[in-house]
Amino acid sequence: MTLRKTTILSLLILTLLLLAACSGEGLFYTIQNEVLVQDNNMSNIKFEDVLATNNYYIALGSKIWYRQKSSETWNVLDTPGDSISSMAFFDSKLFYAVRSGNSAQVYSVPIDSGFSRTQEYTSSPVSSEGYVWLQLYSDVPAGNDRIVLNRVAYSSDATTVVASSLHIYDKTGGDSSFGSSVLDLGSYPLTKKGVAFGTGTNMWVISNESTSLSSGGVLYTTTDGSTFTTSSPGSEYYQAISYNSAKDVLLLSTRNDYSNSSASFNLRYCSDILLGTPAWHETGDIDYFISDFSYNGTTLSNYVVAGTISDYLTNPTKTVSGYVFLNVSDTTSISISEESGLLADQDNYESSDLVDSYVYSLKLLSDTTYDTAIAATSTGVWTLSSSSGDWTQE
Amino acid sequence: MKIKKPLFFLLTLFIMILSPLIGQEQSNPDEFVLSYHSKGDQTFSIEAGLFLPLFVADLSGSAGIQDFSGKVNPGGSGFLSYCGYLDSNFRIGGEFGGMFASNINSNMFYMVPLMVKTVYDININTYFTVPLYLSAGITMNTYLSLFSVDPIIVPAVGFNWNYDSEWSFTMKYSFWIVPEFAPDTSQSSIGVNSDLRFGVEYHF
Repeated sequence: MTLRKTTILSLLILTLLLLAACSGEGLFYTIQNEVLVQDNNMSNIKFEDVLATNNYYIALGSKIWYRQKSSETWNVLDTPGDSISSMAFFDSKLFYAVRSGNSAQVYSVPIDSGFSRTQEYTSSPVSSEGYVWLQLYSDVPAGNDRIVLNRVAYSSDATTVVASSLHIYDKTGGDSSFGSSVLDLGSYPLTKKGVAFGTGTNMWVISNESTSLSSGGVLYTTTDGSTFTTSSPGSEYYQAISYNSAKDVLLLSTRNDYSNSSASFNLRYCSDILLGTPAWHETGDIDYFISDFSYNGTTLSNYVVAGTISDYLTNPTKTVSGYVFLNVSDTTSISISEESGLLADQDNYESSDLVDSYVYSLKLLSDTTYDTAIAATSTGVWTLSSSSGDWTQE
Repeated sequence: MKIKKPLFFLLTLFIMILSPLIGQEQSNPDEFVLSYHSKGDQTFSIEAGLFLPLFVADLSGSAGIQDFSGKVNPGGSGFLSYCGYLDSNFRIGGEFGGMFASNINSNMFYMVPLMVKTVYDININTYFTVPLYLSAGITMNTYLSLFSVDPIIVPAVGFNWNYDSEWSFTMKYSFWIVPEFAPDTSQSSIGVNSDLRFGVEYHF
């Protein structure tokens, strides 16, 4: 009799639980669609380090990976699209641009109290052309309240750029979305662009407006965020741009003669660009081109850390990349060095642990020690341990 | 006919050795079974083992059946269960346990089932039993920030060595069939995994 009661009770509970059991979140689907971080060629990887939360965000395919500096666990967020083209941190949210078919949109997710799956901001899809590629730039390091979107539209056969424009989401202006185009960047085939933010509404944009990988770079400058002037220091191809507010210097990574053995990779920089009399300088050929700049304030105040890609065309045996230090203590004469004593005594350029890894993007984690870096490379994501001083692949 | 002494001794010894078994065969064959399992008997077991991922079937039909073992590493599982016999072969009860396994990025995946358990014991002889299990209930699953409560059905087959009337050592291979109906129907799927467990069972 006791057993019968137990049986009936168990079956009743089971029935109730089964009725309430349809609350799945696609957990098997998520795991099944997870990709291994380190085994993927991450040439298209985008990542952001978020100053306020010490989080890393990495976009790969349609997923965003994120983790806190203090944790070794990567979490994953699935996004409503096929391919994420860009991410940027702004206004306590992570903005990301994602393409789905020939349509592209910008979404944002709040990160204040942990990474939420709620998507707060959604832009209108743009899909009138073949497809649209969106690139976001954030000026958080400069401390302002802007985020910039570069919209590139392709022809219906997806082979030709038909339009490229710049849009600004300006929190201080009260806008709640990206406004209309502030800069028409034309229909040039080379889509490499870069944005550097100065104090206030100062901003610089690089664009490459020819079919050549060794010329055609144009530098757009604005002081009010809407009116731009153009110049072309060196008339080379422009790879990356960064403004160091501590030293008031604008850094411009360039290259020329890319297609022949006399290729030259140059660092051009403009001293006192906002606070004094601007003057352009250059380092001359540095054998590799700088793919990205990253810098921090206090400890590395005299240095800018630059991710590099080696000159594999003219030096095919030299296939290593890594990072170098740009000594900006004298902004009229920047020197490049492989300093020790910084970034946990790493002398990384030409060392073995990033061999064959082209550093596409390099960020420093802005904690109080300033000695942690994270790099998106051709072999995946690498982080520099401040305790061991070693680069490790995620 | 005269039987030689040594041969007589050997035959006598042989009969003496076999006599208990002969006695058993000649008695009621259900006697031992009834002495081990009868209505009202209860069992409590504890098990631990190896979780083995198998495959995921996409319910939307777009991806078909996908190998789950390429995404999740073998892990561990463990269960506590209680059953009561309704007759000499059939018992019913409940079980509670869990599994853990890491995936390709070393993120942990957990499932915690709570199930009603039914068992049919095929008694080979006094010492060995082949139990057939069928459990059903819910499982609470978590992976990173994801959490789901899903139905689960676990058919299993085992092999028990009955050490004595109270204790059995058990081995079991089971399939974890977990349908997952996600709000986004394109993410709905059935996860089919397995585990191989070893344990002890106490009869009282």
